[in-house]
Amino acid sequence: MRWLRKSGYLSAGVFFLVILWSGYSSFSAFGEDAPKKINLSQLKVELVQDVVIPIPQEIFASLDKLGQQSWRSQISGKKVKLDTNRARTALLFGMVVADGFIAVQAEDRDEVKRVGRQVLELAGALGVKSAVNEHALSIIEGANAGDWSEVKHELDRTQETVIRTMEEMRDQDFATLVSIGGWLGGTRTLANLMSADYEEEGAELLHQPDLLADIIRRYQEMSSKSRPGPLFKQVDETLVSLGSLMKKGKDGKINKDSVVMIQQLTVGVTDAVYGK
Amino acid sequence: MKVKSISVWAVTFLAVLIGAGGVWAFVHEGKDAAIGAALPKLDLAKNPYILRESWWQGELKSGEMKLIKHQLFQRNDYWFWIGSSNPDAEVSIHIYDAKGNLVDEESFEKGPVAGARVTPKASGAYFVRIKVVKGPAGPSGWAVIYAFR
Repeated sequence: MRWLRKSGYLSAGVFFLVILWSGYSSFSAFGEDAPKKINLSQLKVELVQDVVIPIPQEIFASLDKLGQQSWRSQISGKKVKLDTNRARTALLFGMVVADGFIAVQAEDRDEVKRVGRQVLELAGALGVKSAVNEHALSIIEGANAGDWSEVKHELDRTQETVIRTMEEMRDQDFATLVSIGGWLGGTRTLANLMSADYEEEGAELLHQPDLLADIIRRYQEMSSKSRPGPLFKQVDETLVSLGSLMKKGKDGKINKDSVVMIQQLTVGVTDAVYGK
Repeated sequence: MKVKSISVWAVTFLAVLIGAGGVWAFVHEGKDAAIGAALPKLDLAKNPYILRESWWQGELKSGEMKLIKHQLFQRNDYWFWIGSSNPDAEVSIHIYDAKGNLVDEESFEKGPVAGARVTPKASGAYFVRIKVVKGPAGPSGWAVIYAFR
């Protein structure tokens, strides 16, 4: 009886706290009025320096809302040829993960599994195999089960795990290259689709001048030892050339000529990285 | 025999401690709080948002704010959440376009966590404005996560 009374008090207490909490929450929802407009050029607020590069899936999700896309036509089936150039391997890693996102869009089990195996091979070459092992196996298992949502999550986790692990190993430059490889792979696919079947609304997704400027800044801040030889000169030139193409014209559009040039540049650099 | 048993326990205890240390390295109380706030939107049964693995973190004092620049894509639907590592802090988060216009579709603030949703009308750079509205005098850790669909 005493317990019942006690628990009754307890319930009433919890109920009172919940009421207080929800009242507080609703109040605080209006507690700090956000300004309707801020002057970005005069605002003396520190900008967070970390840049998060969107994964290809973010572009693909938007493209899907425009209608059916020929994802299967975008499966390259390219095989990875490893060499001793770890910087190239890092770039390749990002591109292979991007290929994984395409294979998921096409719901192609065999291709996803092939990507999972390539991820393991590349992770081994980068010295991060143990960190990635579990993710790669989940990609393969997800493909077997046709659980595409899970595979998308695992591809993102895989790339993030490699980036974080390389950062911990003080391989910051290689972590950057993994992100850039993924971005180039996604951009190439979008440009491929839009140059084959131009749609103004789809091409608009290529409007990424600020992100590209951040990518170029990060790339050029890397040690020259991390971007050796003619391959990385081509990457540098490609990124710089994309700069003017990813801005909207006076008509507010990314026109078809720009899309075709973006496609040629990104296909060219992808082929060079894979070692066509 | 007893010595062997003790050493097995000691080794196991040490392994657990080392393992816990490894896990601890990845723990961020602000991120945990933000994920807690995000969970209702990640329910697999309800056309869930896809939570990105990448996130931002830093420290802010009471009254301070920061901007995060981030590329968003037209037609996608995004949620951003901030979590503070200090449970006594009150934080806010809002999204602005490249011209500085507030573009939140909806937002909420619940003490150490807050969230804002946006459906961009154009692809390009957007600014996530985070602020510690109230909090302790010293700096508190924060984390921002986001999801899309």
